[in-house]
Amino acid sequence: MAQRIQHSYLSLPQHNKCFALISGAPESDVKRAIVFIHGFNGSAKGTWTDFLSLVDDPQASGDWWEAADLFFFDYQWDSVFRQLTNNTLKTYKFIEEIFPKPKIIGRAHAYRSVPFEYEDLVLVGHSEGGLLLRRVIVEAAQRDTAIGRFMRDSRYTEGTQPSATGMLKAQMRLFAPALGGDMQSGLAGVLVTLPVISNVLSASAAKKGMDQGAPSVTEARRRTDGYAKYLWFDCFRAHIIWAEKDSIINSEKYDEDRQCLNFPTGSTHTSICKPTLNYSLPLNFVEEGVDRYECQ
Amino acid sequence: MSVSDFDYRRLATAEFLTEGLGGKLTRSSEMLMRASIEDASGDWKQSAITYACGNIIERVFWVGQGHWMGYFEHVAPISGDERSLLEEYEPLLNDAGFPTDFQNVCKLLINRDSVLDESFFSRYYSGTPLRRRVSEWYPAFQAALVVSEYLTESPITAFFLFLRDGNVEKFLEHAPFPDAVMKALQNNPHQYPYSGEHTWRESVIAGFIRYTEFLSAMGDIFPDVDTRPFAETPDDIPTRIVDRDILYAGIRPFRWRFPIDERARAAFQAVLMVFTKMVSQEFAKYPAMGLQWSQEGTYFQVVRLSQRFFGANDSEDEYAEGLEDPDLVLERRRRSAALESRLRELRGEDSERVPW
Repeated sequence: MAQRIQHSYLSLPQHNKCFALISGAPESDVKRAIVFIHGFNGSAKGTWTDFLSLVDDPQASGDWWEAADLFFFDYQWDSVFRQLTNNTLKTYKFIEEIFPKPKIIGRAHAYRSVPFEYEDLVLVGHSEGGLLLRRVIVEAAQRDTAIGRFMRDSRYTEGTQPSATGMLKAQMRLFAPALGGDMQSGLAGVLVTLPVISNVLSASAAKKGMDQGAPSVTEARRRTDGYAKYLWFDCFRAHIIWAEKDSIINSEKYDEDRQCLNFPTGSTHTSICKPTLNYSLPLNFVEEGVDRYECQ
Repeated sequence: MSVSDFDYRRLATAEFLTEGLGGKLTRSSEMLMRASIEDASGDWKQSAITYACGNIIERVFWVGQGHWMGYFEHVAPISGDERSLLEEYEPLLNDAGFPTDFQNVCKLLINRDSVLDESFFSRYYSGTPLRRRVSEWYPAFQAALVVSEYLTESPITAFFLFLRDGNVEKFLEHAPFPDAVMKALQNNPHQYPYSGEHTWRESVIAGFIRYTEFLSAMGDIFPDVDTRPFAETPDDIPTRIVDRDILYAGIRPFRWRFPIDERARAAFQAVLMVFTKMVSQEFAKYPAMGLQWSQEGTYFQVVRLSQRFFGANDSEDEYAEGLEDPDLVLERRRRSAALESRLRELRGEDSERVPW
């Protein structure tokens, strides 16, 4: 069997606990950046553990990964909603330093040349990370003057929609994205997302229907759905996948989201995004989204 | 980059020793030594020094493993200052209850006749001789390096220090304060874990929480894979599974952190008990969450993963095959045979399967 071109670990000291996996493929073959954002009480190291090795395993993942550099963002999680704006802006800046030019790598390394740019961007979020990414995209759209003009004029005339630039070119892949409002903050929230607990957790009937929705969260949804009505950008049409046994969030998509029709057997809120030797679906989902046959 | 080699070896080595796990082990060691000097009461002095030295030896182990498989290039194992430190505390380290292989490397580093230059790993740390660099192992090894960075953080250090010499009776005097546990979880990674004397109990619990995350993450990299469906003979077990088995058996340089003695077991049980009680109480505070938690399920997972990653090697273990499920015994034997076969292949002893 042909060996896979491998990725090399690189820490990003300017961003505490964040790191990257840089492809060893010739630079001209590297097309895309994939940015991973963990959820509440997650971490860059703990949430995406075996993406690190399985992206280089030809039996677990396709050649698509050889042309990708992977970036893992770590953020402060002490309260689900109090830190939301802060974390959104940090995530925004992190992605801005990666796409299209990976300035984040720094010039001290021999990994990427100065003129190098990625062609594609894939944003991958788990739970609260999904919510952060939705807010990042809304932020990017609000900063884009061409989009602002188009949205304003579209009320009166039928104009040509602007083309997506910067991080608005992204494709979104969200694992059990949080709607918000129904997640528990504080220590109970930390405990509920620990793998050794969430794997043996179930939700009673009382859990259902408790989705209060914080204003900052409902606003992200309203704006995303609003942009999606007028702009045919992939970033407003996230591909999402839910866990079979999720005791932590309620599963409800945004208007234009495309959701996987099947739940991976036995998956929980924390395990849904973690590929292992036995469970490679997360890798395929990042690559192909809901177009993957397991999702049809 | 050539697909059959790893051209980034020099960069990988530099990355490991500066920003990666190796650098973090070094900094953790320095922080513990500084704290031990400043510790007026002396309560944690000995375990802090033991732990500081353990970090240095663990770093040598990781480099040794990486060098063996071809992931790291030649480097000197320790600095002159580090050698002096190990020498100074040799009697303490002799009584630290380190695993045998760990003690052997420690003695080698202290021995005045050892050559501690870039030839060290080729000279003393060859492991099972390999005929080629095993690039199939690199990604999993790299993932294990990243996850093991957890172990250098402040709360988890508090947990392991408690296992080494914590006062269990004092620990059980009252329940931890949930807010203080949250605060400890957010601690600066390079802060001495016992700097807040009045919240040490919470630091230990926060460390235990991080410890379970480490276990789960390692469990993702090295999951239990049932190989029985593959075929009848060991040679038919897929190489990718066998490779991870070999790596898993070989790379546990962190095992020294969990002392294998009655004292540590009692301390571990105490922490696990307090943790499960705290979880029950926290969930009870929020009935609207509607959560139904299996306490036994969590207990079983933590104990099983602890045994896998911090338990003694199988050869040192008290496995009683007669008491196990016969299918599992057969499974383990098939896997061991597959492991042997793969290692023979990597040593170039099976020329039919590996043409050179």
